[in-house]
Amino acid sequence: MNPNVVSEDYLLLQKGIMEEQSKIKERIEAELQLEIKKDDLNLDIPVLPQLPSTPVPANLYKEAVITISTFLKDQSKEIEDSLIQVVSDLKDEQLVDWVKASIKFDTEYFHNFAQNNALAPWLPHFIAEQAIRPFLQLISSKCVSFIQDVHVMGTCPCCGEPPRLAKLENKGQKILYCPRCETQWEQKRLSCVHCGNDNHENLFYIGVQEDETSKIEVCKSCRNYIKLIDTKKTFLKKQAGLLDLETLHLDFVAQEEGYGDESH
Amino acid sequence: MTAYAKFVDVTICTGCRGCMVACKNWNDLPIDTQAYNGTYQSHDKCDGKTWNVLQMKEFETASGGFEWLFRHQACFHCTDAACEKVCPENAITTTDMGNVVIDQEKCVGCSYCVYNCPFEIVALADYVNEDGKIVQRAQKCDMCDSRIHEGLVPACSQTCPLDAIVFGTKEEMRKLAEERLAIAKEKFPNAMIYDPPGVDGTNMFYLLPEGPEAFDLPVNPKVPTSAVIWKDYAQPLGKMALGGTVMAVATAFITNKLFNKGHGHDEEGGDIDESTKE
Repeated sequence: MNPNVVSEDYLLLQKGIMEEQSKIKERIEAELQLEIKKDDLNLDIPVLPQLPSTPVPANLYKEAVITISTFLKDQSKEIEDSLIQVVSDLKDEQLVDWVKASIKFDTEYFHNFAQNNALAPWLPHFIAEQAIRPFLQLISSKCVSFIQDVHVMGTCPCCGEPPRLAKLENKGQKILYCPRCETQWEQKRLSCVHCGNDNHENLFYIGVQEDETSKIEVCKSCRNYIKLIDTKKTFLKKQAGLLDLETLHLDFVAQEEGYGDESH
Repeated sequence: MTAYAKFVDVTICTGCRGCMVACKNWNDLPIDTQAYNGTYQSHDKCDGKTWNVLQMKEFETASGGFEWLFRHQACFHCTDAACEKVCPENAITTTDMGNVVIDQEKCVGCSYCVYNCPFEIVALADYVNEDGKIVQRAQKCDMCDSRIHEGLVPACSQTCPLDAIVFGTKEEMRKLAEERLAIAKEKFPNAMIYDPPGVDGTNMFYLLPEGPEAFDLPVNPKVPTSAVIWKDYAQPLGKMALGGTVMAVATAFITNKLFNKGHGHDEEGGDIDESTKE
């Protein structure tokens, strides 16, 4: 039985968006000369907030926003016709605000924007977030060589997103995958990624009977959790963003059991 | 279509028989107790009740040393599958993932596949059909079709504690096999990858520490000539002949209709029928 709770249509839409994002990433990779040096960084905080200049130029970001908006408009008739017009009219200052707000995950800013432009309240933030991801993924790909040396507690070492899922790889390592920027980094197998607790008596697993490939690792010390995908049990190789969606049922289970901080 | 394959590294197998148990468990196969015949091996060979058997061989090395050889024995899922070729009911098919499966409802138990399998894997066994009757049907490993189509690895592969049984795309598995071959060569100079070309490669293939003879495997298995003649020549010809017959009948029917038009009614004796009814 497939325990997945997300509808097939929505998964297809997300797969489509991911394809668009990888195209955007290729395009910006060609245009953006981005170089990140380990020596310039403080290795105790995530990489993204330390970058000296904005890694997201307004013109490229606008292109990404328009690509994502056009894709969404083609996929769904329910989306307002004015959307493409609104995003095409975005001015440079507004785009800078969008970049800042989406990196900070500022839902309120986008709610106000939606209200002022007569769009559905969820729409601008959704588009902004999907458009920023290719840039974050590009930054992440420039940090691969030293990301293991960035020691931050409880967030992605690249973008600062709270960790959501990890894969148990073939030799038993626990590799964390950020669904937002696709950074991957290794972590001590028996320890909580959120608080660093490694007392095994406070760590345990919750499994779902129908779900053989994934389980939840919960920490009693900080009452938080992370989803684990056991790659020994499945041969499919999926992007972290997609896995995060497909294992949404585990988030429900964990949160019903009282784990996870709502503010995340 | 991406071909998937199960790669079995015989050189690292320790003979724990976990794969046998996992297979019985997932596929709900019955217990089949066999008499002790002087070896540690539990069953003589694969059959319809036991889809995989751990073969245990005592092997004398070239230097006179002793070596245990353990081989996970199961269906090879040949790319050019003889069983599929000879099946008159089209009950045996290759799926989109490359594994060969038997539709128990279509199978009539003729055992052509049993006699033509180059590896002697397929066998008849009890099967309870829709009417609740016990009938004999061809059965074998289906590479856990129900699991792999859900993204899960086969039961034997999941349970293997040493990763001696691995599942993935054939391309990945070939790469892995080459890597493992290089390591195995240090200990077993005769090590080889057994993926016989006579059946166009198999979707379950081995890394063997010794030549295939050491495991009673055919050196160059082939699809039997009779099977090739049957499926690739006789059947299409038969179908053409059948087509011809159908055409002849149809033509005869139409010409009869045309030529008998007008006076066909009398000949059929409609009047007589009516009179007898009264």
